[in-house]
Amino acid sequence: MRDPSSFDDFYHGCAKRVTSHIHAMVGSLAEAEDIVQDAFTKAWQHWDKISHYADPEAWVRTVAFRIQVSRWRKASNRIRAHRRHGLPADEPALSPDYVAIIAALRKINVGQRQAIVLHYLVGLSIDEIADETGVAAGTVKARLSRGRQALATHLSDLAPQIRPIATEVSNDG
Amino acid sequence: MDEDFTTAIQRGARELADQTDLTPVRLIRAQGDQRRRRHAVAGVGLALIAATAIGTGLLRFSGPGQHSPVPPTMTPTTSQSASRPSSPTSPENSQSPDAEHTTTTPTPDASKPPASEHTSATDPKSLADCKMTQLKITLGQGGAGLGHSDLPLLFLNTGSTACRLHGYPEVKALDSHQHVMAQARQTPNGYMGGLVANSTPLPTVDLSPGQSASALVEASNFNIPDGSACAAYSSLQITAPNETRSINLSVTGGGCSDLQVHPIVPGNTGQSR
Repeated sequence: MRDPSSFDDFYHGCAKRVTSHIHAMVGSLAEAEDIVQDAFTKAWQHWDKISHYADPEAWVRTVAFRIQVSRWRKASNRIRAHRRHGLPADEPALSPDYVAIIAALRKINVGQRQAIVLHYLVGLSIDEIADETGVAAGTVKARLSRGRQALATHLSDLAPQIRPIATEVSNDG
Repeated sequence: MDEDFTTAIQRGARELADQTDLTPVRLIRAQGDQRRRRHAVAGVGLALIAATAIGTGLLRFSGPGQHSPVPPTMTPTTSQSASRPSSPTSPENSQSPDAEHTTTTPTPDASKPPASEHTSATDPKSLADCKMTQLKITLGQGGAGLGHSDLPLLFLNTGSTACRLHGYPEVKALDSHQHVMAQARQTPNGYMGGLVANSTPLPTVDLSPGQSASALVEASNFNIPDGSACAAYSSLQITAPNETRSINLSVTGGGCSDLQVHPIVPGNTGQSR
């Protein structure tokens, strides 16, 4: 019913990639790893069904986004004293441009951030994003446009060295 | 033109992926198997005030400023269900003293197979619909997607005889003055779950005493389709199928638009398998 070998192949094929996508949303690798682990655990729980989906990776990504929002809600309701992760020391060595982008993404609205990540990082079309997030294509377009503008502001604040990117992004929006 | 941005974010993400240490897949599977056994609800809890009213059709509203102690829904379900693996009950955190009723909730029999695995019809033809007098309706463990909230409604048979649930509950969202803000659309499934496919026949769920069924309610956290902010629902008014009496359950969370309810299914998650 649930075939472990097909799940293992699926996991090894896309878990790192999905982790990088979630990292772009949450800004902490340790947190992204926790979330992705949780999402793949759910995928295995329901693998009899999910293995037949056209795009199981999209399912895992969607679930991971969902977990992430739940955590934000929970975190906002309590002091994060017990938080294990998220210290700078946990973070991997990354290029300054990318670090600046991640930092800027953290400053924009969640819906806009999701649209930006799905479009520019995951590579989905506007219609695909609309399907995956359950909102109208027009909403996705608006979020992308506003997200780009907001991002441009923060990128130029944060990282003067990549202002050219910010300017281009801004012009596009 | 944002090729530079695309290049930078994609290259950075690849570098990060290369530095990721994956949890061994056997541990992932072991954890998934464990959760399957526990019938844990997917997701980490959305803050919900599970004001419960016990099957009397009693309207009980938990007004603004009245907050429950941190409800069990705030903790991950995996720990919640650890001690009672097959428990079909919801947390006993009824918070309004006068909502208490003399009806006692049957203690679940741990040896009984969980409701989510089967529907225990004893006499499939003659079972009566579950009435509010024998149902305890509570909110289950919610989750959230980006811009979406969901939570299962749990229907526990507190009576002494088996009864049947089929179809959609009626759900209305109320504001803090108990004015109706929205009536849920009855849809087979939505962004957060429900039936696997639109074409799946609506399940008929026969509940033995102590068993529960569920139906998923979901809503958007912003106005559809323009994406603007909206005022969150304050409570949900729920009516079981083929019933006229309803109860109100307070909710917190972002749901405020595009309210939907999916069909009643076996188990506690509102998700069919």
